[in-house]
Amino acid sequence: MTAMPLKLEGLNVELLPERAVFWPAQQTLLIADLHLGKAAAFRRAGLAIPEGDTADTLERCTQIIKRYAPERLILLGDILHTRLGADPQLAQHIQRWRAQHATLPIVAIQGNHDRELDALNGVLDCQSEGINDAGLGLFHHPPEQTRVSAWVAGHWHPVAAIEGAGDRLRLPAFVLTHNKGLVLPAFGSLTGGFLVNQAPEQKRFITSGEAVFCIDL
Amino acid sequence: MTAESIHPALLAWFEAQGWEAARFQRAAWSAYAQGHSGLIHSATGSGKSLAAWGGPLNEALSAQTLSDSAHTTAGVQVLWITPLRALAGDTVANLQAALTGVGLNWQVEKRTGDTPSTTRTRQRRNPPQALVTTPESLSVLLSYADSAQFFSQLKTVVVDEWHELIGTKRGVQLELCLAHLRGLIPELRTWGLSATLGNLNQAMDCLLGNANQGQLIEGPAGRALHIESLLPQPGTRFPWAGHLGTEMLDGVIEYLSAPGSCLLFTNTRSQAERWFESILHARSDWLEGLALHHGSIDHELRERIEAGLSQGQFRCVVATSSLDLGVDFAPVDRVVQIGSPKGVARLAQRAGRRGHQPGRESRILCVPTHAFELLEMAAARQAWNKGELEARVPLRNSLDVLAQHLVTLATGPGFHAEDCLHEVRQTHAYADLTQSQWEWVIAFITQGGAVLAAYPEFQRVVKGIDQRYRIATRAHAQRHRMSIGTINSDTAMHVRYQRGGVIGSIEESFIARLKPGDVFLFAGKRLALVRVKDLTAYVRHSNQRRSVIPRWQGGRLPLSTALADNVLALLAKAQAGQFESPELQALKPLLAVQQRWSALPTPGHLLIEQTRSKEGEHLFIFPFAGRLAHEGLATLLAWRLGQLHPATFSLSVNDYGFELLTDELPAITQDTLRAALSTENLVSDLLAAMNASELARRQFRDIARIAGLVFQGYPGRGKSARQLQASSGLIFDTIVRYDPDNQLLSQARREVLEQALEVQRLRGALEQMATTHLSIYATERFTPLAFPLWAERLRNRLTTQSWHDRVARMVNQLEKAAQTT
Repeated sequence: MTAMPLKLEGLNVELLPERAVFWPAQQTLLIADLHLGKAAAFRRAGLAIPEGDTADTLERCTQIIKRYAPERLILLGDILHTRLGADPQLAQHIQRWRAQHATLPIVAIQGNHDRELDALNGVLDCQSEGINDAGLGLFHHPPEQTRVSAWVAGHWHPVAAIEGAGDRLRLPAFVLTHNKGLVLPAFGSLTGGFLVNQAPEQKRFITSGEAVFCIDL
Repeated sequence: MTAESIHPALLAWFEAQGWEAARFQRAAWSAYAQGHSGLIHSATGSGKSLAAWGGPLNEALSAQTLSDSAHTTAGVQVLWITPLRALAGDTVANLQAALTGVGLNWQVEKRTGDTPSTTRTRQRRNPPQALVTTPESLSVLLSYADSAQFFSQLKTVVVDEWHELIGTKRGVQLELCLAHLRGLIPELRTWGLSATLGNLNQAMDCLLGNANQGQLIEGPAGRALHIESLLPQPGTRFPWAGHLGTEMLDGVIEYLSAPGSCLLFTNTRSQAERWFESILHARSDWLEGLALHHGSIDHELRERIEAGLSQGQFRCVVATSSLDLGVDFAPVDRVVQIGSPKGVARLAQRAGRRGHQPGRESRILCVPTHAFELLEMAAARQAWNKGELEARVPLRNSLDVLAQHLVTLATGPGFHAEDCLHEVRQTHAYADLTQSQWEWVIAFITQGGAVLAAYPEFQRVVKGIDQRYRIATRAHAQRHRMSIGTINSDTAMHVRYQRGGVIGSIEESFIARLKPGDVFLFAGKRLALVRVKDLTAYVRHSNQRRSVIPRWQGGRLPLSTALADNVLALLAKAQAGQFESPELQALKPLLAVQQRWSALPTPGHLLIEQTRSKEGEHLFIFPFAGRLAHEGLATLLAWRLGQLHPATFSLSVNDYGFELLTDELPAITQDTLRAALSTENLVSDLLAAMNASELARRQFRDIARIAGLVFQGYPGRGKSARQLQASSGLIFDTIVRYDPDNQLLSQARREVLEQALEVQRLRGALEQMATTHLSIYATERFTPLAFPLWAERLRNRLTTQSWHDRVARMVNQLEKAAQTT
């Protein structure tokens, strides 16, 4: 695993190939867009999608927690795909997972999908708005460009296409804008992607799962 | 049929039109009167529609005479199925003209996806006697609880342009609907109208199902077909790849300059855009008399063009297969085909658009877009003269279509498993459906499949205490009706001017590649993208010269076996110094270059060329098996070579051969090639190779949509359905991982093998290669045969390298490029 060091307005962070960000100064792990319970929501609507995404997403969370041993985990929104009340199994699943990391503080910032995040209060430290933490703004929706200080957000599910040597791939991507704002790729297993093209004042970093590469040189 | 049994009103109307009922028309009417079903086949514009319509008219006229003449029968008597909703309007007008002509007091109306909901509601309460509709709309009609009541008076179903539906999932959907209607009305008569095909008996089996006792009625013998090619001026350098040569444009313009109307057919929409633009650029004074017609253009505009064509308003209409269909629009004076038609039957059909006066021969001018297409034109003439027409192979056991149909019936009146299985097995498509396949589909629509049985939240179809299967909730019913339909397509986006006015629709994947300000060519206009909002691309006019042309899905048919065999035969003659046709004469210098640098491919010799360029090492192989089989061969060969040495290949195919491009090829010898081209483990190797590539995943897109694994959302309410949106690729990956026995996965693989790769043809090619001589040439540059492959942009990839290595390699290349610039 090869992380990519990056400066956000002077703050050092690391882009992890596991589609997460590590913030060494605060010993904090950041991930965005888990969309837990998505396959189940599809099934309720009559779309026959097999289960597996929620367990896989939480298992990958557990692995990065073990690997980087953070003192805190912050979830940048869209933790749940739909209402928790519609899916009692999901609540149990999350609680079991939480019990494995009982001493780890976990902050959950509300996203547009999290219509019943309050139901997880007590399990997670739920925040209805973004927060400002030691000079870094943490949001679900990427804020307006006029914001002066550094920030990290999710919501877009960015992916980037890379081409060359007769080959082409579409991969999850981190998007850095104006050297101060960072949008994370979606972490959930059953999440699609929004294709981000090259643009001025923007750098895209793709992850192969083993390493992070910058494709806007 | 004797004159007495034909109603005088029908004969009188024919006479008033100056027509005489043709023998095949009388035969069809007579068969209809005796209660038969059947298939009528003949050339375009020979009066097929009246052959089918006359039967019901005759019967209704007789019934009207017997009873009170003011009394009209209630309920739908005749269902007329048309493959394109754009044709429904024309059809209604034609059927109405005959009704008026014979004085029958019937209503004829259309019902398609475009019909407003108020009209639909009225039609359901007060149905017309004749209803013109599409296969999809028929399915929707069956999804209402009272469908049996609605169709209780139905006497006959007429399926227009049946040849267009055979071999497609829409055709399978229609087979299922017809079986259901026959279950409701055992004495139902089914009549099909078809162009001439190589497998007419099979076409009739599909239409009529297993109880087929139908009559095959042949229309008047086809007119003579004269195929000529536009030849390049002697001494001009002829484009080797798929470029439009200006030399050819000049010839076409000259041909169009003569008075009269012309239809100019292209094979793809992008080609149509390019030719329209080039003609207009060369002759801006023709602006008023030029039109562009293809499937993405707004249908009102298309209807205006079709009407204008009938009134002789246009000098030239540039069209794609969108005008292959179309019942009886006015004939034109000239027909031009740009590029190879890829099949003899299609060429004949297009040529038939020229004047229908008796005794006038069909004539078509073929314009090559690269040199070797001249060969195909000469081959088409040879095949036509020998009567070698292509067959359309019907589909079997498509479980996705069956799942959709069963949910449709569950949404409507519901069904009993046993009765329904019996009904389904009456079709040609599911005659040998196994019990386990049937049970899987039932499990799929009730529980989501075996794996999902553990998750009770899945809801779609439920079994009632009366053992009937019904849709779970009204919301499910509504979503299902929205999803009925099997035509594959990317999500279509409206293209609209900022100030209003829809121009047409383009696949979302094309728009997604554009940035605001980018200029593209669409509907013959230069448009700049302004913004994208709610599945609409807002555009404005642009004068910028540089632009991109959208590449639409589909429309790229493989060269038929009939044509390919004739091409090779012609090359063998050329090898022997015989250049009999004008096309071969024109190709003589180019074939000489090919022979000097390498060799001519002929039966019994497999030509192989190896070239090195800046891009890497190229391997060209020319089996002449059509582009689909070549796609499979290229994938197979790349995978097998990749087993010797991990590598990433880019593959390029056309109808003559394929190219493998990679950084470094393993040494190519007779032995390595023989081993790599063996038929041993063909299917398992192909499947392994396909998992590495993306073919099955791509094929799954349609299957997922048809079987109801993805939901495309409500029209105009794009965002509210967000929660249920996931790409079929993502769903494919999920199912491969968590439900590997899902039958829809095996169907995707089977479809890739049978349709996307034409595995039968592929196997045949391999068997042939096993006994042919392998002629391997190291060439310094791309030969005339290799060049079009190199220039072919649509490339596939196959890799045996890890994901990470691929990314690292591409990034490495990017960095190198960045350093040098």
